[in-house]
Amino acid sequence: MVNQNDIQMINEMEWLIPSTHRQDMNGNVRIFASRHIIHDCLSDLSLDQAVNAACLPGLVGEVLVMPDVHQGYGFPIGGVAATDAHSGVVSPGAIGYDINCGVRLLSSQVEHSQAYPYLGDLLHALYAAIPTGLGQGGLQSLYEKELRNILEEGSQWALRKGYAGAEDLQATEDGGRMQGADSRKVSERAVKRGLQQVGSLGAGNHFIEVSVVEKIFHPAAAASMGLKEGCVCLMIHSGSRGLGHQICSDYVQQYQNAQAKFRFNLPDRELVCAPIESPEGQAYLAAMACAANYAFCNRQVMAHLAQQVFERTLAGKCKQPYLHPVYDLAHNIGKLEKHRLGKVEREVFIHRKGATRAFGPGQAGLSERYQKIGQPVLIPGSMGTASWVLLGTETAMLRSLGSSCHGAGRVHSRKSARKMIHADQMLQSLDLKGITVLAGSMKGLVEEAPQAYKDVDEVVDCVVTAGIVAKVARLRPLTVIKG
Amino acid sequence: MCIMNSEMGTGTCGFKELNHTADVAVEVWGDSIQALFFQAALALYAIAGVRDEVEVHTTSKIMDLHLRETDMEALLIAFLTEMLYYLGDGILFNPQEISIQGNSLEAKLIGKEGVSVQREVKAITYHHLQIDFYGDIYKTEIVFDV
Repeated sequence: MVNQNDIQMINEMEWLIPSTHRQDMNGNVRIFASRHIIHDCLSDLSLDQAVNAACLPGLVGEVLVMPDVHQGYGFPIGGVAATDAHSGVVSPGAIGYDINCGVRLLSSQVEHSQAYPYLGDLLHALYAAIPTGLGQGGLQSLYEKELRNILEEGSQWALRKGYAGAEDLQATEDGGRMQGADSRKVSERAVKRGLQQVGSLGAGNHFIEVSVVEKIFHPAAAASMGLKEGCVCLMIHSGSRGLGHQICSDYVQQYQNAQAKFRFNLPDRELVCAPIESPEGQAYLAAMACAANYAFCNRQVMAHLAQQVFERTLAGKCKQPYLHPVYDLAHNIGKLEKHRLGKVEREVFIHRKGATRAFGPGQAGLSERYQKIGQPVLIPGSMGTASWVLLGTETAMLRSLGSSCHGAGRVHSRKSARKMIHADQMLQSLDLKGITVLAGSMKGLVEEAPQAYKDVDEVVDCVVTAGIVAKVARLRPLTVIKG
Repeated sequence: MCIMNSEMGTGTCGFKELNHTADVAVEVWGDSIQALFFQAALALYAIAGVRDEVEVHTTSKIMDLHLRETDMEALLIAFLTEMLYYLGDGILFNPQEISIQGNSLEAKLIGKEGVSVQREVKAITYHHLQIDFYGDIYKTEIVFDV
């Protein structure tokens, strides 16, 4: 296990495990974290997993670890690793089972003081309108042909069907449609799981949250994003549901058989991979893009429903009762990108698992709306704690492969959380803070208690101090729906 | 004969939940490889929040299962992935007559429909998955992505 002596301090927020730590590493591991968070990291296997990730064939540069890191399987959650776009590999486990698990934020000009008396109505109306929880409950059961259109078109399907406007797609990573999707590379089982879940939240740590902009730190960026201090926002955290899980499972299993063929000898079976340009690699990329598109469309449909509910509930009671898109991004994804490594610009395949793209100003791939200021980076806190809106920077492009953290990160297991925390006390504590929660499962709710997570303010301070992102706004939760 | 005491860490067959930061981990054991596989299915159902017994007289679905993988761990993953897939359709299968030869498995699945779960299990992972044989007992850890 990695211990304190294996970690070199670069500065108070940056640490290094050199590639000499183990013979099979192809690069260093660089950790963006405070001393306190480094200490926490040593109590689970997250840094060992980062070291294992550094063994990926064709690794380019360093494995990066964000301050919300915690142990995953194979690849740590809060990890970023790039491989050569032509001679490198793709590893499904380094992207995750919930492909394009991500976050969407919408803003409004509705003052909290005006909305306050109607927040309960709004919460219940959202809960009634948007399917949450386990298994079934999508917006509509689709014919298979229509689902395959979603897999290949993403949010553009939603635009065609009237669930999105042009501004929604402009405010979504990749315009809500990842290129290269081929639904023929998705198994029948994955398709079957996806048919009934379009427009549904899911369970676990997925949520819909109504919050208020508590403080603005970057007025110009906030204005571009439509964020106004004291006004209400809505955030959705969800992913590709059963379809994405099945796709990852299918390819992790398929790749087990292929490791001998490719002569790969990886330290962890969840890191199984295939050369990007092999048929196996190309098949996964095509399927991954399908799952990504499904998730973009899923969040788009839920956002559309939320917009309708918001307007219906607050019309006649609050001025301008409209929600507008700020941004939608992925935090479990693989992307082909160009990055400057040393003096050379290289095309690489970036694995982000529990990590968010954080492009700085002027980057290709950003929509016109955010070209000048940089990409919004959305950091949901744990239940009942703050969420953050940040901004990608030029430093992120130079130091962190244009990446940042994605949330608070767990510190306690679900089992420990159930032992430590009682549902009634937790709800009471949230109520004292003025936060109302609706959840499908009390057991699931307790597992998501804030005590089970790191301090999101501390996590954000790490990446801000490292220069990867800049603060735009802090959001305080008001009401939460948990799946 | 399998003496089962789930969640208590005793008996020749059983399972118990372990601590894992992000997901759910169980330790599973059995006095034969077939028993280990059976207990792993019960562990999956327990984690998903389904009761761990199927009343055979309410059977509504019978299926034969044939699997072949590169090694025993991959076979276990494939087996549990099958159980999970059908659970997603509301079908709870009780795997009977499990036969494991080399890296192949055959089983008769007897199940009932209309079952619901309390927790979504996304996948079964290879993390810490290694089937060991200690003093007449097969044992492994399994981590579920939830």
